[in-house]
Amino acid sequence: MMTLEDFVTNFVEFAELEGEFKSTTILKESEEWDSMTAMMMIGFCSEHFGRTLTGNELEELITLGDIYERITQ
Amino acid sequence: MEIKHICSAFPKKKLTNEDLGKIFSSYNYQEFEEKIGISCRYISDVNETSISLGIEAAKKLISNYRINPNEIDYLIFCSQTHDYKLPQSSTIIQDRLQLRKECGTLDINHGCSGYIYGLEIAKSLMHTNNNYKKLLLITADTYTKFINEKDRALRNIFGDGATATLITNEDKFNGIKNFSMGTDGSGAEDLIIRNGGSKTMSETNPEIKNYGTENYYTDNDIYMNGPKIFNFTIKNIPGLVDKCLEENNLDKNDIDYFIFHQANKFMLETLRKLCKIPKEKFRLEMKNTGNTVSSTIPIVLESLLGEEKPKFKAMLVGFGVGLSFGATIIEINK
Repeated sequence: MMTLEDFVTNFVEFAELEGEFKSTTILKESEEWDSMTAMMMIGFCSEHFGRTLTGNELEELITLGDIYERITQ
Repeated sequence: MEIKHICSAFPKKKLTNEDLGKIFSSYNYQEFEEKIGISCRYISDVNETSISLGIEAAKKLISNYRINPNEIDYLIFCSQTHDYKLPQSSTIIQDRLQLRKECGTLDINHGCSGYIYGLEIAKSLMHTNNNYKKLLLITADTYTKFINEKDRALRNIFGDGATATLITNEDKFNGIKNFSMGTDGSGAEDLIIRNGGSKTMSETNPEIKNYGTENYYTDNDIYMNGPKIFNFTIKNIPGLVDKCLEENNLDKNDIDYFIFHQANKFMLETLRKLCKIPKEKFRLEMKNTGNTVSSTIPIVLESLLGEEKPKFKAMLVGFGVGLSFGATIIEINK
């Protein structure tokens, strides 16, 4: 199972994000968190966790930590 | 059996991002080009249709490679924007290209996976009948005729175009290998023109609907649910790539090029990473033509075939409207 730390590192690498992202970063405050990055997150979670998040679900999740918690529930 | 030659044809009118920026002035086309990878697309005018573009591509092929039209044994025409509800387009093309009367003709109604379907049908036909030595596979679509002028998202992405491929069965070379196909019809509503078929006629004053950020369409126009299509591809395509390799007893290292349906750069880059395909083997060639539906894969192949003495194995992967997906591996050895 991927740890929260690995989840953040691997996603930042996968989406080629340049800014500093932590598990507590508020995603909507980052310029790099746009609809495309959100779609990449959906793809990333589908591949690694076999779980397809919906756009509405992602809307509710504030940080990468929240997303991790949701998909590993 | 092998893919011998490919030629493409496009409408005369080009629509650049600069042109679109004048219409949708609040949209950032610089960022669009960077992320989506499209800077220009071709738009058919009233006189340019799937049949006329398909014929133009086929005539180029016949003249550039000095093919005798009398030697074509079969014509497959793949399109979703047919000139007429009936008759089928392939018969009209047979006449206009002056193919002989003994030539078989077949229309297939498929979009972004259409080229893969066309190749599989071509291969099956040639296996069934050894007398078929030369087959013409034409892809042609004019989606832009069915896009609402206020639908920015779709106007940005789609372009019109056609291709003609000559497939020959003259020696034992296995240039078209095994296929893996798939369908998820539950997503039919995610890419659809609701009106104009025999179920619901086109409306005179259709209701204008809104989706996403400032995109408008009516039920007479193409509607596409982009995020749903994206989810469909990320769920199905990585598995399809693996399955196709397995069915051909090959692994990723054996493949020189991966040619995916050129939907948009963002989607393809995401798929590339999910499929763990190295950048140098992955073709991204939609900058000047946009998403031309069933023609994107042969357009990329045409440029690879144009290299001197091309010799490569390529995996072709189509996915989209239906929802439908399919993959195969081809080998070129000239």
